[in-house]
Amino acid sequence: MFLLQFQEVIEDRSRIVVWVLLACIAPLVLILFWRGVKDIPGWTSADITSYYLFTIVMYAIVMCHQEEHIATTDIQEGGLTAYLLKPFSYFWLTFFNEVSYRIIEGIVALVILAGFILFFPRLFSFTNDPATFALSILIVIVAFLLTFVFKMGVGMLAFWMTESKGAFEAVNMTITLFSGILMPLAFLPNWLEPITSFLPFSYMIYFPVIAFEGKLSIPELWHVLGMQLVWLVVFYFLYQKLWKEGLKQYTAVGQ
Amino acid sequence: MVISVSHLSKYYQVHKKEAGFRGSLKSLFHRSYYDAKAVDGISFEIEEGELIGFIGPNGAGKTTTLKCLSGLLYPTDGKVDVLGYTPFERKHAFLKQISLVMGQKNQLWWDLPASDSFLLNKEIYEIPDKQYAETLEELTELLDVKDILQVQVRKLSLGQRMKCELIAALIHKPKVLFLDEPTIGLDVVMQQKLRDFVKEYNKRYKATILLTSHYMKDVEQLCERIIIIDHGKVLYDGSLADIVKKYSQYKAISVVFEKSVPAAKLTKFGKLIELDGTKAVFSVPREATSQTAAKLLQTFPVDDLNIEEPNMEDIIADVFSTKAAKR
Repeated sequence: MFLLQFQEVIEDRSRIVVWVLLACIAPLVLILFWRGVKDIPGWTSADITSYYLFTIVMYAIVMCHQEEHIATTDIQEGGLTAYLLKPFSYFWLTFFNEVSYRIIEGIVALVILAGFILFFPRLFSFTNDPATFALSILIVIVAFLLTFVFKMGVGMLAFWMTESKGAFEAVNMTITLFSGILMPLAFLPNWLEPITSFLPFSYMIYFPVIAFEGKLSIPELWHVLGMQLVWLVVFYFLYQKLWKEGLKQYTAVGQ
Repeated sequence: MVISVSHLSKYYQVHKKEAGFRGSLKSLFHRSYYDAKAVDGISFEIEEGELIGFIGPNGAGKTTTLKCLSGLLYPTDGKVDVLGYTPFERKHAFLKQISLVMGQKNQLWWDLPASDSFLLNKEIYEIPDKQYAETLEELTELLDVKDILQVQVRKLSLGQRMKCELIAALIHKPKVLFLDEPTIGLDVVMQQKLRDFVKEYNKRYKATILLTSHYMKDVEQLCERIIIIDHGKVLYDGSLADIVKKYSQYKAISVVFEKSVPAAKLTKFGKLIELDGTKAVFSVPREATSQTAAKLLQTFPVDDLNIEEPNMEDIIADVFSTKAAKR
């Protein structure tokens, strides 16, 4: 099952290269920007550079984008019909498809990152404690599951909205703001801190990145994992509910 | 009883929008909805192995009914039972035994050869290796597609693609088959091949088949029993032969005279429905057919005379207008 989905994804190689390159542009611009800013406590220039480069990689590995396809091709254009007729969970079919994309983008991003580390080792700071490293890997995996289930729920909105692009833009902007893609959340004003650490988005990108940078202690790492799992469960139940209700709305158009 | 439908209704909420720009502005603030009754209380029962034709004009509710039967749509009202399951619950055990084929709908992956899509279905439907190999062999034999299985689907012609779509839809040997306009868009030869295939499939596997079609030929050749639907309601449910007998009270006599005859002289023989030069077509009550034909031959010099059954389209159209008028 997984292999067949994987095959389909790698058929279009040029598309993947373009995505990865696009994903690199924004953070590179930001790195250049922050180089001009001096003296943020606890954050050296190396920290900032590696933060943004890690963010690129994290984004490639963790951030799922299936909601567009779900909303447009499947729900609005009736592609969902073919899946509904099959004795196979739509959730898992979409999952295997999305995992394929993440793996490929992740590998490409990791290769680029490895290139950077090789040539500019002084720019990077990350943990060399094996326990922290192992926990960080776990956090990344759960972060992926978290964004996947979250985006599944977002995609479900298309059952009720004929034009979902606006809603998706709003969601993506929220993610950009609160997940640390724009800048490390530590740079945001203090009063925002309780909000960002409550919202699920920081657990998708920000915390996984600083986990690898070694900025979190072991108990803090477990806390991150805990919050991720809580949100994972919440979004999963939300998705199930939206899926069931959404199907009752589905009109199987397109034919 | 394989399929049991009881007072099935499906209403869609449609919002009314006034034409033009003002209408668009208005609908930003206030939308008025009305219920579009796609299916309005239909009931029928189908036994195993039956091959049933669903006929009706566009918008009659045929496709909506099939979608309710296959679990795609959530019924507004009524009960549906297929193979002992409630379709909308979409239990895997249910889905493994049915198949819905909708004319041009694609389920094959575009960039890979058809055989890969078949393999995907093999996994999804959990078909055992041996059964898969056998079914694939039989179907590719029946549809004559053995040499194109390894070709990318995007490179196949429409006819070839349809055959492969059919195989993909049948590879799990469904017990119940829903065919929605299966011959639409196909050339005459393909249409006949498809009909032959459906007939064979029904016979060989004792599959219960429900098909909707606009083409009377599909129905004539395949179905002994038909269900006529219009405006979401069942107008007729019974044998095809009966309806032909019951509603075709008249036969058509078409005559070609040696010299053209004025209408005035012809009207006493029967209802003249067409007069074109030397050709005339009469609609005559069944019982009077041979008499009228004999009289015509005696009275005028005749080149050619044909007695025809009214065609199926006319009969069905008659059913609609008769029943519609009654409502």
